[in-house]
Amino acid sequence: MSGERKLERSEALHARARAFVDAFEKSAPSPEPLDALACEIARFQADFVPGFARLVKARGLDPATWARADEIPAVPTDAFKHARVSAFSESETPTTFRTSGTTIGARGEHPFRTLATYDRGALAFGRRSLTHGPGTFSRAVVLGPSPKELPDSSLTHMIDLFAHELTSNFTAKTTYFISDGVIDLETLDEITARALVAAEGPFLVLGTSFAMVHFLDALGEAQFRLPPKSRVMQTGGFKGKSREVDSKKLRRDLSRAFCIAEADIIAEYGMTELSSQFYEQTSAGETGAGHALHGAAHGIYAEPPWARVTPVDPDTLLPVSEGEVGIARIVDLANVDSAVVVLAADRVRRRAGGFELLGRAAGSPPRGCSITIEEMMDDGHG
Amino acid sequence: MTDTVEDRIARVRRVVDAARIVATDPSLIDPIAASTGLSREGVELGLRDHLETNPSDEELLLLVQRAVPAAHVHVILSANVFTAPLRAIAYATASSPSVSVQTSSREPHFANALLRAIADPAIFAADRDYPRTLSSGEVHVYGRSATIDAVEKLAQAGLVIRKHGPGFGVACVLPADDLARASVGLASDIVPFDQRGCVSPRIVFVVGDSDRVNAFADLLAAALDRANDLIPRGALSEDEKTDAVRYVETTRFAGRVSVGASYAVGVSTSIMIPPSGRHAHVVRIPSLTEITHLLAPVAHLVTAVCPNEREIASFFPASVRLSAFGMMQRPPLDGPVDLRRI
Repeated sequence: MSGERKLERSEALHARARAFVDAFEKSAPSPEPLDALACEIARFQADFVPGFARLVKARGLDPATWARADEIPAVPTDAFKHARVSAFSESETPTTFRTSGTTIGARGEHPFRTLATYDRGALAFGRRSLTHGPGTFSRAVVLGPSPKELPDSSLTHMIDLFAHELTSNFTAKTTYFISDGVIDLETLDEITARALVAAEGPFLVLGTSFAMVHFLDALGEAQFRLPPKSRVMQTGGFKGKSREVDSKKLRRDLSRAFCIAEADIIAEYGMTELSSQFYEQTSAGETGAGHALHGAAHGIYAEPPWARVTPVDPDTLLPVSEGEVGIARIVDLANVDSAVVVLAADRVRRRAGGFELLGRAAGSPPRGCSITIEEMMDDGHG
Repeated sequence: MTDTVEDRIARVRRVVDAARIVATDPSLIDPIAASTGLSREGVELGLRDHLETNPSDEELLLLVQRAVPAAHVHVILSANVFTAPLRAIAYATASSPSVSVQTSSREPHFANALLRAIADPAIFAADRDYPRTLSSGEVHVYGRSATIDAVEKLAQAGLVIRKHGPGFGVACVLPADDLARASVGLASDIVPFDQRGCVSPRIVFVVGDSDRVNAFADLLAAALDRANDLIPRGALSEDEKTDAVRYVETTRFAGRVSVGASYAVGVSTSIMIPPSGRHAHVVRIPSLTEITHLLAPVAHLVTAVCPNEREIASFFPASVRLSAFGMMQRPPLDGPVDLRRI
C-alpha cells in the first residue's frame, strides 16, 4: 500500500478520534462506538506497524474479524523499549516522547507524526478535570523542568500545554520553578505574595509527586498561600526519585502548604506510551454536563470517552470479573499511529465512575538470587 | 593461637562432609519442593548435581585464600537457591571458626539440616538481631539489593559487610560452535533451580545471520521442552507468571518467540532480560564486539559467562565466572558464586 494511502488513512482516523473530543467538549454523545473506531485503528496498525503485524500473526488473529476492542491484542509498554511502535518512519515522525529509563538503560520511545490529536484530547479532558471554567487560572506554577530542559518528555509537553492554554498569564520565567533539579523558592514566594496583594485569580500548580515531595521538604513548616480556588495537579510515583510518601499524607501536606482544600489536589495518571490521560474527579464537572463525578473520591480515575481501561488477568490477559484487580489494558483512540491498545504494568480495579489505580503488584518476595524484572524497572510518565 | 590455612581448610571439609550427608536425606525433598516451588525432580537435581560435595584440594585452597580471616562471621541467607547455604557457610568457616547463620525464613530446610549435620556449637543458627551483639567481624549478606541496603544501614560500626547481590548469567554462541550441542548444554544450565540462581543464564548472544540465530533458538526451545520431561518446571510465582506473559507478548512484537508449556525462547536484536522460570532471550549479533555496548547497561549484573573461551573472556571483567556450556550452574567451590564484590 502506498505511503500516500497510509497517510490518508491515518489522517481520517485522527479526524474520527478528534470527533470524540469535539463531542465531549460540547457535552454531546460520542459520534460512534469506541469499539468500532478502535478496531479500525487496529486494522490500520496491523497494516503499517511491523511489530503489531508480528504480534497479530504470532497469535493467529485475523484483524478483519475484529468487532470489539477487547479482541485486539494489547501491546505491552515494554515493547516501546525494544521496537519501533509506529506506522511511520523516523523521518515522518518529528516528535518522539521518551520514558525516563530503567536500570537496564532502555528508554521507551513513542513517536508522533502529529500532536494534533494528542493536544486536543489532553487539553479537553485536562480542562474538564482541572479547571473551574474557561481561563480561570491566572497563572501556572510548574514544579518540574521546562520543555527546553526536557524536550522529549510527554509530561513536560502536556504541562507546558496546560500552562499556555489553561492560564491567562504565561511567561516561562514565572512558570517553571525547577531548573537543574533546584527549586527556586524565592521567586515562587515573590510571585505568590504579589498575587495575593493584587488579588490575582487562582493558580494551577503542576508537577510530579516526587517534585512535590522535594518542594515540601524544602518548604519545611512554611506555607505558600495560593489565591482562592487554586488547584494542584500531581502525577506519577516516587520510585527512586525521592523519599516515598503515602498519597493521603502528600495530599494533606500539599493542602497545608498551599492553603487549599484537599479536593482541589487532583491526581493525574498517564504514561509516555499513551496519548490520553486519566484524572481523579474530586473537583471536576463544574463546567459541563455529563460529569456526575463531581466530588468523587480520591484514588478513582476517570477516562475520557475516547479511552477505556479494563483490568485483565495477568496470566490470560482476559478481563477479570467486575470488582476484581487486574493489569490495566488501555484502549486509547488517540494512539492512532502507534498502539491503540496498550498493556500497562499497573494494577487497577473498576470502581463507580472510573478505575482505582493500585500501582505495580506488591507480590511476594522473589525466590532465588537471580535479578528480577522488578529490580530492573524504574519507569513512568517520562 | 593462629588459625592456619590447614585449620581453615579442615573446617571447610567438615562442612562439605556434612552437606554430603544432607544431600542423601530423602525427607528433605518434599519440604524443599514446597518452600522453593521447584518440582521434586528439580530438588533432586539440585541435591545430586549442583551441590558442591567433591571439591578438589586446589579449589579449597583458593576458597580459603579468598576468605579474609575474621573473629566471627554472621551469614545472612536471605534470597538464594536452596543449595547455596553450603557455599555460604563454607566460605564463612574459611574466614572464621565462629559462624552464626541467619537462615531464610522462606527456605530454611536445607540450611537447618546442614547446620544440624555440621554439629559444631561454634557454627550455629542465629536470628536477625544477632549482629547487634557483634562489635567486630564480618557480615556476609546474600540477598536482593534492598535487603543488602537494609543490612548495611543497620550494621554496627566496626563490622565488615560482604555483599552478595543478585545477578544473572550470559551465554555466547560463537561461529564455530555446534548449535545442537550448545543448545543442549545451555538448556541444562537454564533448568536447575528453574533459573533463579545468580549465575543462571538469561541472555544468549548468537553470532551469525538470522537463519543461524533462529535455528539455535528453535534447538534451545526443543531442548528445554525435552528437559521438562525429565525435570518438570516447578510452579511460577504470580509475579513470574505476569512477567512471563509480558515477556512473550513483548517479544512477539519486537522479534519472535517460541513458547512451550514450561519455557519461552525469544529472539531479537536488542537486549531483553526475560524473567526467571526457564525463559531465555537470544540476541543476534554480527560479531562478538557488539557485546560490549549491548551489555553495557547491565554489565555490572553479569556474574557468569559461557563458554570459557579466551575471545569471550576479553569482553567481561575478570570477576565473572567462565565455564563450558552445561557447567554454568556447577561453579567450583573456590569462593562465593558471585566473585564481583570479594
